[in-house]
Amino acid sequence: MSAPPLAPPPLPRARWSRLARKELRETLRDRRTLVTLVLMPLLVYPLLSITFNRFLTTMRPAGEAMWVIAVQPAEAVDVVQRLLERGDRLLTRRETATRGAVENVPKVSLDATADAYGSVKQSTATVGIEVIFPAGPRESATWRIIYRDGELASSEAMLFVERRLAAVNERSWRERLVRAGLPQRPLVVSERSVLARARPASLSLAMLVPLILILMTITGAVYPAIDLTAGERERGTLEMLIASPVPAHQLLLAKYVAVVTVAVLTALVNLAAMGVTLSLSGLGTALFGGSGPSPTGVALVVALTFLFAAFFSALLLAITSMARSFKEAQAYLIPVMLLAISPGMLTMMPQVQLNGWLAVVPLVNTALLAREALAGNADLFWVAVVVGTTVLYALCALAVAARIFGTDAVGTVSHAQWRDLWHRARRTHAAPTLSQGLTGLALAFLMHYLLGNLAIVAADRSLPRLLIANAVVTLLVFLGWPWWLSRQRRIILAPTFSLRAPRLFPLLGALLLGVTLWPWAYELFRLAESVGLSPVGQSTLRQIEQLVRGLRSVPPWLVFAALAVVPAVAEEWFFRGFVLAWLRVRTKPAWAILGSAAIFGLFHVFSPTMLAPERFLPTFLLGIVVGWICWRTGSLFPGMALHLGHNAILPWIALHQDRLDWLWGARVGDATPPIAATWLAIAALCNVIGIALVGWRARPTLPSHGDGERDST
Amino acid sequence: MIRVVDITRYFEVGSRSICAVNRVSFEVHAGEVYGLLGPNGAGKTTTLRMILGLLAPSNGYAEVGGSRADENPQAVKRSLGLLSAGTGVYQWLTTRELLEFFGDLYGCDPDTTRRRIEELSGLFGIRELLDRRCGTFSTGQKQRVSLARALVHDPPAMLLDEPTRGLDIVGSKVIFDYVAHLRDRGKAVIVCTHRLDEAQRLCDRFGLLNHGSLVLQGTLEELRRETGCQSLTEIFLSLLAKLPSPDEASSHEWGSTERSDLEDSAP
Repeated sequence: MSAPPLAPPPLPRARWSRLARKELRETLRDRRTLVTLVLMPLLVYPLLSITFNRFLTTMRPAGEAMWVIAVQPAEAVDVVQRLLERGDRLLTRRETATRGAVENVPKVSLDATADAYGSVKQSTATVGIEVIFPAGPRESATWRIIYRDGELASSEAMLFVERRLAAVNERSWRERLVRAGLPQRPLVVSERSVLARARPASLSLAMLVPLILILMTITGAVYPAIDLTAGERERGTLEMLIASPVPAHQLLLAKYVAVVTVAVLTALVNLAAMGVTLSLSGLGTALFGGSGPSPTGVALVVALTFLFAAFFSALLLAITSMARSFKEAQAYLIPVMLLAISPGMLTMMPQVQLNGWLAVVPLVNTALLAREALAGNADLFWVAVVVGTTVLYALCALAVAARIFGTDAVGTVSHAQWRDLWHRARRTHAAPTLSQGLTGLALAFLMHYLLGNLAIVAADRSLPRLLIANAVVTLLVFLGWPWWLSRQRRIILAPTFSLRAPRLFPLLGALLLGVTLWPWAYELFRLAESVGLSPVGQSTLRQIEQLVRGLRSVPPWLVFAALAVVPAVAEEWFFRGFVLAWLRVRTKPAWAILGSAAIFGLFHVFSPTMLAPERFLPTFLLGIVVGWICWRTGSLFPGMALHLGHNAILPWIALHQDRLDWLWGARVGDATPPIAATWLAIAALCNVIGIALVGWRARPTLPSHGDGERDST
Repeated sequence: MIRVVDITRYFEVGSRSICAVNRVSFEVHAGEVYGLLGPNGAGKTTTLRMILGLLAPSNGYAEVGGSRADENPQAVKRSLGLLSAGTGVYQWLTTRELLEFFGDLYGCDPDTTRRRIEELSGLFGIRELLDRRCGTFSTGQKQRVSLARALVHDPPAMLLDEPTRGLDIVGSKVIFDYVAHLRDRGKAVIVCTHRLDEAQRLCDRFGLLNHGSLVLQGTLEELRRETGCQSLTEIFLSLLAKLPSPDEASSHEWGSTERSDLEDSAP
């Protein structure tokens, strides 16, 4: 019996700092890093600027009126026409005198309107001019230019009008000064945006900025992340590092600092290059409106770049630590990079807003917040949510990387082949190995998606057939697949799937919990809804209502079997059996339960037909409870009982909601009604009894950390 | 100084479980050079990695200076210097930066590290390489830098895995001369090598590994008595002729394999 390993003493800060500096020095000396850090930004932005300018030029249809200027009132059209032409002449003269070139003036058509503001807002006019004639001869006329802030054409048209009127104003002012006795400011010009503080309704090129920043940060982080992990492994220097008496996680932390630094430097160089290019090319005004991006917005984008780099670097290190060569790491990272770009693409969709669950989706939240910050719409609450969750994700990714980095399982070569899947293993296992678990999860996800869609097609809009088809898919994916994989790889069923006959009281306790836990999930949903974190859209609600209506015409036994029995048996078999055992031999029970619950939650988020992030939290919490019961009782069956009770009670309530008025408390307005306090108290009491019954005379005997390593022949 | 007790390591390759090292036991005392010899894939590198704690044994344990790698890995690592078969050096660092970095990793103070760098650079003839980047070196130069790196913290025990791979005769001689020097300074050294002639001249005792098992060990005299052969090469070849082939060995449940660098997991 060996003693537990001694905890390594923490590395002195000065030494750790030297360690990080060495990693950074080595990375920055590499010419390939310098290419992505300096050369790329210097080349990319001027090229992008030229492309944008070209794009904007080609967008203008030749020969047609380019801008429609709505003039209010109608009798002002002639005055506006005259003044714009005069301003045009003045500007042309001035431009020719000073720069020798004339501005490329687009065609303009003036439309008389009774509501310039409305015309611009409804996009029937590019820009509007509202003229308020003076009450007396000695007063100035007021001209209000109305435009859509953030929209390129409208902003350009506003500048077009403003410059011409300013030229006229200036000329007139001079003339009047000469003559004296007249007002010194004949025209008062002010701007009014119909979209002030509102979100742009159309695509704006400013939305590209987060995407570009994401791309550039990734570009900066990818190379050092691969080089400092898989690259070192390939060159043989990683073994020397791991052979030193510095704990692997401290070595990793030094590498992390180096990767984050390079990523942030790359992003900052990119930001600077972008800023310089935009201001020199004049694109800045066109993209961000007359005043350009606000300093606060820019500062927030810089801070978000740090945040994004911190998370993404940790993610990259977790992935590249698994690779044994540069090439292998690149292969792993390609799908990750493609996935990482998609949040940037989302920012280009104006209808996608930073709220609800999107605020906690990694990368998506940072990209959307960057967009909001640039538009000057960042809300402090969402800033806090995004920062908090991203820091949490970064820490999780770093913890995973620290577990993988330098482990012996990675420092070696895999000889596993696809055909091994079809051959029965010779050696038995008390729990799934690392790769068996990953294979099980990956193929279960794939099959769940493909077969789930197939089931929908096969059901042909018939709800009973859909229920049967879904039940078959659930059985195949979550029961059949892990059973087959375990048989092939000789994973012993009894310890892996906790196939131990349950005791009566824990079984009853779990069932009681199953039917009495839902009020808390319901109240949690209400709470999330009240703080705007649970945006179950109207379409989802309609789908649920439609489903409930449909269920009334389905035999109750089928509803019970398809929605309660089958998921309870099959999902528990997979998530608390296969997945929990896989994690349990690798980490402490608490982490294994949390991990299996998270995977359980994620499988419910990615349903075959839609993305349902709002399902994560309730299923995650349910997964924790069921995981705890499985660990506590050493048996899969009480968890199945809980799952069965939970899945049976929910459709029952939905089908009988019209007869359950006594259950609800006072409804306030249109909000979802709360559960009556009495029933909440009863549910709490039942929960306590259930937990006590489950915990009573418990005998946890799940495979524990290290068991999977043992020979079990 | 180094004690290996019944150390065993299984790997899984697809549907097969393979025993790369099977209940190997030996001891190396201070001031002794132990030659761990065997053909490719015999389990030499796996044994060294388990002694150092880079690989967890499936059974058994290894002790260095009274500390076990599974109980106090940092103490074991501090007591050992490793020169692996690969000449891995940081190509963007200079030799001096590399040696200072590893001195720092092993907790040496900067003055001691500087003194050791002077001493080792003179000994291995790398003084002119100190301020050059390692990426520009030849294989032999890299190997000498690697040896200096393994010795910079002046460990009481050394693990040398194919230390003369890629070196010419002069380069090999430098290494073997230094191993003798280490023995004279009371260090415990384990050398894995194919150069049986050099091993015969240098090592005090030998362990012959084949298919993961230590089939013979002792001093040269003891091996001669056991096999009736004179040179280490003859002893080695006669043993290989008597032992079952890898195919025969794999007919056992835990048959050894030609590859020892295998993953412990497979789908």
